[in-house]
Amino acid sequence: MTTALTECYPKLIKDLFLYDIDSELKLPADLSLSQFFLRVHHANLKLPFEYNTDKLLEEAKALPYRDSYIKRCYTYGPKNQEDTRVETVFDKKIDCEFKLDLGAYPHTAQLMKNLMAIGPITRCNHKLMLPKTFISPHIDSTNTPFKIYMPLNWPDQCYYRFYKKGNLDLKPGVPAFINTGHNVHCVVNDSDEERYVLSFNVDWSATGWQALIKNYIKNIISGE
Amino acid sequence: MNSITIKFKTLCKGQVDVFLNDHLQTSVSNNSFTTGALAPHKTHFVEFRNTTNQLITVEKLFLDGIDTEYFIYHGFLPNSERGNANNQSVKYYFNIPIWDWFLNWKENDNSTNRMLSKTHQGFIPL
Repeated sequence: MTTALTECYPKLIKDLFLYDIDSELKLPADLSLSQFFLRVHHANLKLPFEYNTDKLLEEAKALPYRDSYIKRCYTYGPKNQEDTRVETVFDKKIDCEFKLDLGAYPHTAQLMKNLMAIGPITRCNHKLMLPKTFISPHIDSTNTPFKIYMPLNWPDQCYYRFYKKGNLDLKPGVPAFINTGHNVHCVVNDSDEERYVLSFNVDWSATGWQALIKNYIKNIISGE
Repeated sequence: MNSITIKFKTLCKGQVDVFLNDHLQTSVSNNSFTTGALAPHKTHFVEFRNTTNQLITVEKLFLDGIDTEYFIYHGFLPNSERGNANNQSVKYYFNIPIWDWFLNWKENDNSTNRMLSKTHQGFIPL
């Protein structure tokens, strides 16, 4: 889909949104779990519990964000480690901890508890993106290529684009599996609103997290 | 067919001659020039040469208004090495459109971090 952005962005970003050609991923009915991780760049998942996205957004707005271009609030991660942005390599089990007291954020605390009941989480950040800001096209480390990216709001004119694949169909409250380690991606908030997302890494060897993917595959096959 | 603007910043005590596809560019002004029509199906190259054996360092390279960032360190040098500094010439290959070529290069670049990462995690269940 061709998107004409406001003039304020670098030419590389404007050209990407104007000229890049989308491609549709056709998945076979017998897609295996390993094929999913190799071939799928984006999948909207369904969590096995209820949550209130409006309340989560309300709490996200009140979190303390680090004052940087893309404002981050490091919520959960490996013990005794700062937010290194790229997860370091662990060759043994790691202990994680909350990086702030979620007592004042009950909906977020409950969500985290429910997520951790599915399987281990290895890192979690809230991210605030201001209006008319962007993240230049880049590719993440293949150290942790698969993330779950859950928009808490997604204003019109907010875009998450994968090079050669198109804009992702992201929705508030819908957690999306994304493969950012094998795809050049670019994020633009061309709206006039602040944009909030919850982004986290999980241990994909956990059967609970794999079950979410298997459920996605099953729904694809049944055409739901 | 397309023409693009090439803008650069070099450090050199001597004169730097700029060549595009082996043709000396005589219309360089303020470290910038506009190419003639470039064929989309061919690979092109811009080369910074010095004839007095002075070190040339390429610090910035903008192709079609796009900052090529750390691509500058992937220049081709006469001694079969790669980098952005040499006392004879530094050469950069590219295709057009620049945005597409550059993103494709980024997707496939082999920086140390990415190579190191590939040998670890990114767990794919069997």
